[in-house]
Amino acid sequence: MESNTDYNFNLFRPLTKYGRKNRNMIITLLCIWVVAVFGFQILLRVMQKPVAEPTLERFQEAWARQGDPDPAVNRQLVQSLLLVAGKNVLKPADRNLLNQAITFYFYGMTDDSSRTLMMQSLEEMKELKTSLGNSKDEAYLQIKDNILAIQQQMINESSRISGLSPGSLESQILISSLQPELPAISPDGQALAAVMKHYLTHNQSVLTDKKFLGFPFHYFYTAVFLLVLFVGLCLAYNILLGRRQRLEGIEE
Amino acid sequence: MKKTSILTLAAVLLPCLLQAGSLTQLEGSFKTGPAIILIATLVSFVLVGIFFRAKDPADYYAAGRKISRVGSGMAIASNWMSAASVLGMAGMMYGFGYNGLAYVVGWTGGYVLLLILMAGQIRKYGKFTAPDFIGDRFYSRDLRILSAIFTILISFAYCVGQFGGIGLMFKWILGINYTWSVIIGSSVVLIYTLISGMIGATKNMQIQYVIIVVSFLIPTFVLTYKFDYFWLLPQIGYGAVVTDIIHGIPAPNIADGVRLVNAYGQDFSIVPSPEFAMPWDPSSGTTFFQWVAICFSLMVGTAGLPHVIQRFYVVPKVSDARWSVVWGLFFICLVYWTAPVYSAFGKLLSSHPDVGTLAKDAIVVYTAQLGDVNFLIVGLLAAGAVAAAFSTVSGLLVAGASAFSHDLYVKVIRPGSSPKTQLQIARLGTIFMALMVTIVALMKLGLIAQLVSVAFSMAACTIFPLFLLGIWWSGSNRAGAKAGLFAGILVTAVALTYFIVGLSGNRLPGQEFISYWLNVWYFAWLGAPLAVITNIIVSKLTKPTPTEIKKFLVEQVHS
Repeated sequence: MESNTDYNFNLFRPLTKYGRKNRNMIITLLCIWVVAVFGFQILLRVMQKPVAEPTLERFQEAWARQGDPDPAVNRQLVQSLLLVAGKNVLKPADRNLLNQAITFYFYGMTDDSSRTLMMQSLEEMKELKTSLGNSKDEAYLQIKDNILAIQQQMINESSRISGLSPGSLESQILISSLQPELPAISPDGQALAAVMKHYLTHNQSVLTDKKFLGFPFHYFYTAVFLLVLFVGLCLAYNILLGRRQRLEGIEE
Repeated sequence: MKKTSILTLAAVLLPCLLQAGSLTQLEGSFKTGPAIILIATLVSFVLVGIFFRAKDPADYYAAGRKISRVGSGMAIASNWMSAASVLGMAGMMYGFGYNGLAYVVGWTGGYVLLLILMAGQIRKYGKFTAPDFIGDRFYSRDLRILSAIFTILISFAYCVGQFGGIGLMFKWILGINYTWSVIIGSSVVLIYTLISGMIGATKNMQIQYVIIVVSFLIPTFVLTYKFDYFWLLPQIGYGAVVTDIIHGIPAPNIADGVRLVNAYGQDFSIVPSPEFAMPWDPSSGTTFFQWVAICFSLMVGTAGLPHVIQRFYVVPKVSDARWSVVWGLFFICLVYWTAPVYSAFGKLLSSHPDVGTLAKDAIVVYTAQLGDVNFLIVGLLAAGAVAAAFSTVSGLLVAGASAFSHDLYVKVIRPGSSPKTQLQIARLGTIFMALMVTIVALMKLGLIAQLVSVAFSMAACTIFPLFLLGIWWSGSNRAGAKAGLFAGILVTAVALTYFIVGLSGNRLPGQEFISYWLNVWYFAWLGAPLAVITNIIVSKLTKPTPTEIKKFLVEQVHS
C-alpha cells in the first residue's frame, strides 16, 4: 500500500502496484469474456438473414398451381406439407391444420374405393391404439403387431398414390397425419401458407453455413469452443496471478 | 477415500452384471435392473454420509476446511451439476434448439466471473456463509437477516427443480406416479443430508461426481459408435449429427450394409430440421433478446448463488479456492460438452411420428433408451441423474439450514447458543425446508432448467450485487447496500408476481409486456444492473463506510 491512511479503493482504482496489475488482468479477461460470449451472438444477429428451406419454394410452386389436373401438383403439395408435419416442434394448432391439409389433398388424389378402404383402416388402427393402453404382455404384443401390419398395408397403398417410396420417413408421416374423415372444406389457405413459412424459414448466415469439425460453425463456437475458452481464461488467470504474486513476493 | 470410491462403484456396478432383461416401454413399468442400481447408489451415499458424518458445527457448515483443490473442484462440480444440468439442459436444447445453448454458456461462463471477481477474496474475508459476509461487510444486522432469508429462498427455488428431477427419474425407474416418486426421493435425500452434513456431503459429492460423469459419458460413446459417427470423442462426433439433422436423413438409413433403427425398429432418419441448430429460430418461439437475457442472468446468478459461494469456505488456502474453481469448471464442462449429444440424438431417435412428443426433462434417459443402449447402462444413467440432484440438494439444504441456524437463530434470534443447539436447529431447518420444497415440486410449475433459472435470477438481483460491490468498492456502504437490495427485491417481486398471476390464468396490467421483458426465467438482466447502480448512487449520497471496514478490505482482502 502506498498510503497508510487512504483506504478508498475500487476495482478501477486500486491502491497498490500489485492491485493495478491485478486490475489490468481482470479487465483484460473480462473484455475477452464479454466479447467472446455476447460479441459473437451480436455478430450472429447482425449477419443473419431469413433463409427458406427448398421445401417452401416447392410448396409455393404447387400452391400457385392448385386446381391443375396434373396429379404431380397435388403430390408436390402433399410431399411439401409432409416435410413440415415431420418436424417435432409443431404447435398443436399448426399440427392440426397440417394434418387437415394433408388429409384433404391426399384424399383428393384417391378414388372412392381406396379412400373408403384407407379410412376404415385408420378407424381400425385408432381402436387398436386405444385398446393398447389397457393390454399387457402377449395381448399387448399381438395388438402392436396388428397395428404394424395395418400400417404397412396402408403405407404400400398410399405410396402408390403419393409417389413416395414405401420405405421413406415421409410415407410413415403421411399415415400418422391422415384423418379417418374427409374434411368438408379445404383448409384455410392463408393460415396454411403462414404456417409453412413459419416453420420453413430460418435465420442463417455464413457463420451458420460454414462447417467446422462436422458442426455448423456457430454451433461449435457456442457449444464447444466457449466452454474451452472459459476453462482457458480461468487457467490463465490463476497462472498469471500466481506468477505475479511470486514476483511481488506476496503470500496469501 | 479410494476404498470408499471402489466400494461405491462396486455397489453400483455389481447389479449391472447380475441383472438381465430388456426395456419395452419408455415409461410406466417397474425396471428391475435400474431400480437395483438406484437403490445401491442411494444406500452407498447414506453409508458414506454416516462414515464421514459431521461432529461439530464447523464440520457441518464448512467441512472443517479439510478438502483438497481437486477434491473441492469435484465437490463444486458435483454440487453444481444438478438435475438441471444432467436432465434439464439437454431437454432445453431438444425443445428449443439453439436457445437451449444459452443455458450451457450461462451456467459455465459465470464461473469466470466467480473466479476473477470473488473466489479468492471470499476465502480471504474468512466468513462461513453468505449472510455472514454481507452482515459483516455492511455492518448491518438487517442486511444479515435479509440476505439469510434470500439465501433460504434461493436455495428453496433451486431445490424445487431438483426435487422435480428426482421425481421424474424415480417415476421412470419404479413405474410409480410422480407424486409418490417425489415423496420417496425427497425423504431419502433428507435422511442423507441430516446424517452427513457438509463433511459427509463433500466426500459424497466427490463420489457422486464420478458416478455422474461415468454414467453420463458411457451412453454417448455407445450412441455415436452404434449410429456410425466419430465415437472416440462423442463431444466432437455429434457435430455430424447436428449437420445431419439440419439437412435431414432419408429412410432407410443403411451403414455398412446394416439398416440403422431405434429401439423400436423405426428408421434412424429425420426430415430436414434446421430449426434444431439455427439461432433463435422462429419455430422455437424464442428471440435474440431472450438468449442474451437468459445467458446473462445465469452467468451473474452463478456468481451469486450462496451454496456455490459457500464452497470456497471449505478449502484450506486462498489459492486453493481459486484453483478449485478451475478444477470445478473443467469437471463441469465434461458434462456440459456432453449434454448436447443427448439432445441431438434425442431429436433424431424421436423423429418417427409413432414416437410422439417426449417429456423434455427426461430426454436424456429416453434418448439412451431409444438408442437401444443396454438397459443397465440406461439405469446407471438415471441413477447418475438422481445422484446429480442429490448432490445439489444436499448442498442447498445445508446452505439453507446454515442461513437459518447460523445467520438467523444464532446471530439474531438467540445469540450464544451452544454448538449442540446450533446443530439441532440446522437439522430442524433442513427438515422444514425439504417439506416445503416437496410440496411446491408436486405442483410442476415448469421445466427443471426453467425452475432453476428462477433461483439464478434471484441470486443475481440480490446476493451478487452485494458481493461484487462489497468486495470491489470500499465506498459501498450500508445504506447503498440496503437500497440496492431493495431494488433487486422489487424487480424479483414484480417478475414473480406476474408469473404467479399468469399461472393462475389471470392478467395484470401489461401482463404480456412484463412476461416477455421481465420473464421469471431471466429477470436478472434488468434486476442485477439496477441493484448495482442503486447501490452506487445511494452509497455516494450517504454516510461513508467506516474506516475499519475499508482498512480490513485493503489489508486483508486485497493484499
